[in-house]
Amino acid sequence: MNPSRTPARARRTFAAFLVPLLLVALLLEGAPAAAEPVKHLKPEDYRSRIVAGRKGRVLLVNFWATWCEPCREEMPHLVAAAKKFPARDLAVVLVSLDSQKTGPAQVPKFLKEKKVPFVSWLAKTRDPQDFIDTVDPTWDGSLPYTLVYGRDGKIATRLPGLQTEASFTEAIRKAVGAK
Amino acid sequence: MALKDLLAKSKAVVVVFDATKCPYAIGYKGRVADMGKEYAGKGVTFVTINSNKTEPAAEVAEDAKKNGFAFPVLKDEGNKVADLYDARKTPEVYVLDPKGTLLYRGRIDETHEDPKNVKSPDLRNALEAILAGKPVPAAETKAFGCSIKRI
Repeated sequence: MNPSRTPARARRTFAAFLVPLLLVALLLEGAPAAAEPVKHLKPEDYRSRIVAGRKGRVLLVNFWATWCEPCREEMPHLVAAAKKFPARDLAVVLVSLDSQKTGPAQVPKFLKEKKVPFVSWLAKTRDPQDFIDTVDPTWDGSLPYTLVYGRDGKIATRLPGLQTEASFTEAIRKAVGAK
Repeated sequence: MALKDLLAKSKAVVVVFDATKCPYAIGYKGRVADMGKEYAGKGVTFVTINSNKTEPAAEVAEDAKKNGFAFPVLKDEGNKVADLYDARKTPEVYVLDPKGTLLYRGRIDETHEDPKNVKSPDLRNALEAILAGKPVPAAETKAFGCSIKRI
């Protein structure tokens, strides 16, 4: 048997790592919470990672970007509209079309600053048209763009362009109420 | 300036809906300036139109000068032209033949970032086909960029 693999030796090695790890954990505890890192989303994974698995609940997907002025403008309206519905009825997911270069820093920064309580994915595609066509071939690529999926997982409402709290609320209410 | 005058003296006219502040449009400025110069020698006229209510004519003129646009740069007050073309984004491109027939609509290419990485030069492909008297391979693509700020 290799002596380095004996249980006693392994325990010592583990303990040697544990001390610095504990120190790091203690140091981090006092630090302010960092924004959640962005998750990358390939076009081919859109249905399986975003749409599937949410059946039974209404799903609202908002496509946005930090450089898109109307997207930034409508975000508080989306937050306000979503608050009116319980989590058992509605899930909200954001998908950012920021670039791979700037998105990983800009997206969490914006969400944290504006206190947006939703998870945002970052579209991972070098050609936005691939992503747009995979999500919804009828989408012309304009941002913002919002899709409301019914409890059956099918698109219930398309909301192109800048929305208001009222228009978000109406679309969600319609989908939540539909049996 | 009338579009028909430009059409009359060109093999094709490229109308680019542009913006001064949109990061996407800014990413394409160099390409638009270069292609405008390159294709002027081949009988194709480039024109940019700014329809954003938030970007006044003086700002548009200054931006065009800064970016070396050597072609007509127009301000579309009241987004009348954008409405006529149903243009929604910047940059969004329309290519017309001398009769005013739409030959291509959509994007310049697939990335506003480094032009060296372009794999799908859709506008260039359309122009080369038009100049060769061939059908445009992809006559419509989806432009991606900032929304035009309408009144």
